[in-house]
Amino acid sequence: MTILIADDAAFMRMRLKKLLEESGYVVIEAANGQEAVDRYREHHPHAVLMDITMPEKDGVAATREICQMDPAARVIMVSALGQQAMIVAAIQAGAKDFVVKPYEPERIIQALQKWAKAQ
Amino acid sequence: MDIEQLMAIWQKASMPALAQAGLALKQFSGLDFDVRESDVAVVSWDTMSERFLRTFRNPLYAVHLRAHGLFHAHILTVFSDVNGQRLVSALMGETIELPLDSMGLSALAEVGNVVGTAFLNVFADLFQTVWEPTTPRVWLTSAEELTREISPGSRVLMSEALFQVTNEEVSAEIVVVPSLGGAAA
Repeated sequence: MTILIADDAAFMRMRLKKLLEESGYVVIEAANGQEAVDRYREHHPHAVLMDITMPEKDGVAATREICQMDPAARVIMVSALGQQAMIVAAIQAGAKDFVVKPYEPERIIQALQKWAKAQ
Repeated sequence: MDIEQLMAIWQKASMPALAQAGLALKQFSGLDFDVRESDVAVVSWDTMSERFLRTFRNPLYAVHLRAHGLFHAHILTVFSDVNGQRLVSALMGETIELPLDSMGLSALAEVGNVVGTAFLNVFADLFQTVWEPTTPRVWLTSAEELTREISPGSRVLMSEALFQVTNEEVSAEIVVVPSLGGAAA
């Protein structure tokens, strides 16, 4: 299963990538919202872990574009506390789930497994 | 509410915010993390500048968040270069050299992000309102440059925090600067 991680923080991408690869996932990375849209178009990953606050194009705008391109896209928002309004906007843009940062690593795996079971 | 009333309330937020930051860093790193307040005070901008100049004679790492909610604010988390290096080394599980590379800077930015967000969460609970932070900016600078670069507020909340992780204990200064008059610079 291929997962796209979109986060402008290199350290967070590194940590998530390690966690997911140890759990058997294949990982693609994007450092901003525009890159996330481009990587999605190229690779059609099974799921996207999308940060909200990113330069160039934020996670909500990128989610909207991805979901317009692929209405079945599985986008999970990864947001900081205090961004509830942005989470609502992201759900309206097509996001299917969200995880609040900072999270326990298991929470990310659970969110992916929940979706995989539903397929 | 005037600035003195606001700062009196914010001062009480420091201890729970640092406790929340410690818990969050523990969750996110999987390491035995703790963050404690060793001192907190409401001081003038000039007093803060003088303290920075006395404390940080070497280069320092500053993580800067801007936030907007009821009004604008700056949140700075400041480490001496050596303390920044020790904290990042503990997080990465290996010795990291100075100056920090892009991955080290990103790790330190995330620590500042967690600390700043914890303060905003406590403020949000106190004022029943949402505060939205910007993405963190981290850079290597000096006390002189830093105090010139961030626009001064008249009064600032200054917390001294002790970060304990694995066998390391490093101190940092956390400064919250409200900007009641308009947009933060």
